[in-house]
Amino acid sequence: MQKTFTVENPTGIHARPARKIVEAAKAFAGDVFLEKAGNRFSAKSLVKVLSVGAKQGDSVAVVAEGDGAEAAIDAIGAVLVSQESH
Amino acid sequence: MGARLNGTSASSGIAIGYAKVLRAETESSEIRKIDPAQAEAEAARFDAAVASAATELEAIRAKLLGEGKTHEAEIFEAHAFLLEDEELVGAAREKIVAESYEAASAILETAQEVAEVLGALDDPYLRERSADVLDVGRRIARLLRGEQSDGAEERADEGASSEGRMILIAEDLTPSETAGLDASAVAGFATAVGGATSHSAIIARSGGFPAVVGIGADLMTVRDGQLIVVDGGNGVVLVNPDAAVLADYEARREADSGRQAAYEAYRDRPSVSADGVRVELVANIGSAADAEEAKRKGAEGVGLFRTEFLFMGRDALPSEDEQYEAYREVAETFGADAPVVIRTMDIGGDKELPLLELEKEDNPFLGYRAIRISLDRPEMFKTQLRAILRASAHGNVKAMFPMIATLREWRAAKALLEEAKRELSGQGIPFNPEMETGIMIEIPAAAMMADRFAREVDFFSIGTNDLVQYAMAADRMNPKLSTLSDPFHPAVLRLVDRVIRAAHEQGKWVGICGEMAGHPLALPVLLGMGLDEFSMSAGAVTRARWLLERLHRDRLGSLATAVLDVDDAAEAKELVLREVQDLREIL
Repeated sequence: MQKTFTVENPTGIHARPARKIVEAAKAFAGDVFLEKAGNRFSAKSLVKVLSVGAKQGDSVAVVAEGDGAEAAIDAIGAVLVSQESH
Repeated sequence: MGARLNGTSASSGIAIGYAKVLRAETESSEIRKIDPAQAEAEAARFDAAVASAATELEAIRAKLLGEGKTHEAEIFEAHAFLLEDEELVGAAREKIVAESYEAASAILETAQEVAEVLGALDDPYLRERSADVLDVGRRIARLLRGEQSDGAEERADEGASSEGRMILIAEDLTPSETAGLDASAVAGFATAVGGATSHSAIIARSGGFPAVVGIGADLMTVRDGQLIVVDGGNGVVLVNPDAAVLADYEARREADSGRQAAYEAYRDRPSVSADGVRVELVANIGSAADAEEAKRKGAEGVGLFRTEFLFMGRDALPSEDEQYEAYREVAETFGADAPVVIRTMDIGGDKELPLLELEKEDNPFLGYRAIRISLDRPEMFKTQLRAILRASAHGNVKAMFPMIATLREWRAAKALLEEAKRELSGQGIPFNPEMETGIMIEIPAAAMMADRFAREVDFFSIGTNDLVQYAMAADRMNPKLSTLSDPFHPAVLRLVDRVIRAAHEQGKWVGICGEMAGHPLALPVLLGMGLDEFSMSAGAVTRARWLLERLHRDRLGSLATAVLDVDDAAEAKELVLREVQDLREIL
């Protein structure tokens, strides 16, 4: 399943938000991906999450399958739409 | 016994600390392989090194947290996070197991690959993260190769609060490296190449780091952890000085900090000479962040906003809106009345922009740069002019064209500005129709024609760094030519004097936005010549204001004339020192 979120953080997905995403993804057993503009990135790697280069206003889809997928997606979505920086 | 190395003063002040030698990365690029039968053992060795790295990082982080340095601690927390990253550590391990890489080679190569991916992103923050990835990679490689944790780094980590901070030693530092220096860990720096007006030197001055550049190859014999004194004002670096010399420098550093405190008191005072002449003491900046820094350091506005930094290091030209936001932010930082002079982009010379696909040139400083490019690309230029005009609705914004050599260029640029105004009026977008528009005087041809230009422009700003380079035919980056790269040569002083008089004859104001404007020896001369605006590194503003309050302009007219009638720069400086006693106190 997947859900799409709009990045609200004025500085984009930087240090602290990127780490929160990785932490949320690692709490989930299966694969979790972020998709932006047709490109897919593992949400379990800080390097990959940074590589998404997501800026405020970008649409980012979160993709995961299996038990607990929705909870993982929502946890990551909450970081994407949060305005809290650092 | 200590060694004494001579270079060019880039930023005054005294720094004492331990050497941290930055070497080009090529030395680690050799890939070593192992016997495939050893791969599992090598992978285990790698895992152990990663675990040790985690312990090291945790210790550093805990220590910084204990000192209340939460921001610095977070950097190392992020590094620890990278140690668990599949893309970095996982991929390196894979190289060991599947391709028989020696472990250190594996992590260094992987870190390099990851850093390149991040480095290519269109976001300055993320590009900087590539340095973190490389740093983590090097930490693991160092542990694997059994090298001692290098002393300087440890000292730098712990030295953040003590006086024993580090002195960076490098062949050269790029402007972005210099800008990224952490003032809490770095006390100063010294480089083998570079000149007093190189961009690294300029950034060092605005950040208040003592620095010496252009020392030559001898500098690279310094080893990590050696005790170093950087005497920025005199362009001298001492390696392992003996105790008496060190004590002397420590005393001088104390005196310096006392003077800094005295200057600090002038932060919010008006810029007025002892005989009541009001001038403007403003700052040279490259970004909105610089503007805030400049305001904090007492600048009353901006005499030079170098807009090219908005254009550099990215995949697409900045849009009109993006530029407008940046310009408006600077205008609003200083408030409605404070002057903010925005210079249209000066790409070319030492500032390359791959985006424009400019041809390589043999003499870039004498080549296709600044207004010469802008006039050939009217759409790009007008985008910038519209953004500047829109910002003029939010403050006392002025526009300035760089590298003007002929009246024809000025008139062409002005015509495009008028076109941009008509476009905005047609769309009902607000701007200040009376926005002042001037030119940089940095080409001797323009200085000689200043009387003609003065009839048409609203102001001049003399870019003395380039003016000296062009008048003396001396590359400002070449340390061998540093005695020629001196604004006190009477030839240069005569050009400056000529430009000031030409402007005043037409009732126009004139400023200087080169490093000369902030030089304490130059201030009395320029004030005597009648200069209206002094635009300098933010770090020099309070000192200039302190000195200004001790100078009588009406008594400096004869000095300003006398320095034009000497044989050389040394004689001109002698005259100033003899005339202005207060200078002895601060030089």
